[in-house]
Amino acid sequence: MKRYAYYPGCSLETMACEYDVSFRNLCGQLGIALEEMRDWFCCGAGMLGNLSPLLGLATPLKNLALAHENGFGQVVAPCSACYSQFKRAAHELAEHPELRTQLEEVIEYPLDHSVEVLHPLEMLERELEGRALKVEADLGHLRVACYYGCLLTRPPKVVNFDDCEDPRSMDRLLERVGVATVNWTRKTYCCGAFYAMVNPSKVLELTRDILEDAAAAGANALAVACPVCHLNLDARQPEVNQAYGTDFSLPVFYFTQLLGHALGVPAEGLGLWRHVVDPQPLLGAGAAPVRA
Amino acid sequence: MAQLAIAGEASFLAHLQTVSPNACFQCNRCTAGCPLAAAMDLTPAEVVHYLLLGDREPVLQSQSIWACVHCETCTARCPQQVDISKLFHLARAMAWRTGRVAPDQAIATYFASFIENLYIYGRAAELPLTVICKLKSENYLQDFVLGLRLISRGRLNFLNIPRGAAHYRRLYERVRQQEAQIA
Repeated sequence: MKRYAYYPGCSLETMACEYDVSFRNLCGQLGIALEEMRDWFCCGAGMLGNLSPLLGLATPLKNLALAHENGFGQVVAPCSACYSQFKRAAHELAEHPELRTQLEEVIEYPLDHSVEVLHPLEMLERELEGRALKVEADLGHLRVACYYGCLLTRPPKVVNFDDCEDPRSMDRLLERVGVATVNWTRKTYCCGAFYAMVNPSKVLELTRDILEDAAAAGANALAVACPVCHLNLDARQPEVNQAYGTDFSLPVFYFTQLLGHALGVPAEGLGLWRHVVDPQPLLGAGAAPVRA
Repeated sequence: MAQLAIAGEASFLAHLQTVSPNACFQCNRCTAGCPLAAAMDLTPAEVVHYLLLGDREPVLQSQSIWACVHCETCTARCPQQVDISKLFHLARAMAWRTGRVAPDQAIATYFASFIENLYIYGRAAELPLTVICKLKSENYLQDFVLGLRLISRGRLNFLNIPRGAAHYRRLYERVRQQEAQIA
């Protein structure tokens, strides 16, 4: 059986622990072998390049080297920022082969190998292709706006993930377990990410636009694939309502929670209680109309 | 030879060559799609134009390079394949390395806190990181309620002390040595 190296990333240990637990349990349910990498450390999250471009590239490459050293050919990274750091480093190395010697020297590992980096969306689509799925919970009352955010899809020549302006892979996976998804325009608009640390009002504005667009398209929930998107859309939703006088009450799921719920992962294995906007009534009680 | 250090002006220029801002014909698509353009003093297209003219100072002193969150919309949409997001990253590193960061630049405080935090823990320890960043930038109450919400849901805690510092510190020191040689 194929083994995937699992690189959870820092956020999945704390802020996004429900993404971590639901992904692990989903893989368990599907019989996919995930093995957490030993000794992994932060990918740099794009922050290290501000201080040193060399450190910014070496950090993800060293993590991939650790995976390779432990016999893995594929690494699964659920956080969009980690995913993008890995992809970016591999891309820079391929574009600028003259950097190889210098990078090999600092990471103390030859760069003659390639480790494939996958987002869970890519890995699951691949694993589930042609496979019959046993849907155990009816989620037919959901109308989900799939939000892909930035780093998962852009820039296309670096990440090479789906269609960068109109990605569909999350929609396809959710539709396979009976979840209806909506067509909407802001699926790859930026939520402002870490700019919230210094200028929350700008982020609230961007977040409101996203929530408003999802609601206008008829969604009663959102699905995301990134811890920072989740933080801004879910945990800051009360602040959006306060700042703009809106009354959004849109649950924001990690797509792994919806897939897990539909495929029979017990509720306690999905971390739903950790959300700020409680998604449990919507999942449990059938159609519950949310602000249109 | 292209080496990845940014301490010197020469290596900054070498980097700019690889990103080739001179392919830009000012269609302004980068600016049109930028979610943070409203928080910038120079638009992304103006930043690219200054760099094309070799006039780096206005860029290095701008607010713009600190407002970019690297959503990559500009880079994805540029018809000339200019990696605008990377130009912002390089300009920010250059500004930082040459002491041009304004003291009240709160996002720079966040970056510095993040990097210090990483040296200690090897992974981003989100609660200590946030607390330190808020204290340093004297934003004591901002996001206080949000923090409480996350703590009460077990999503931020002081008990989770990450591991992984050994590999990271070794890498960090090796990078520093390399950069000292190049500079």
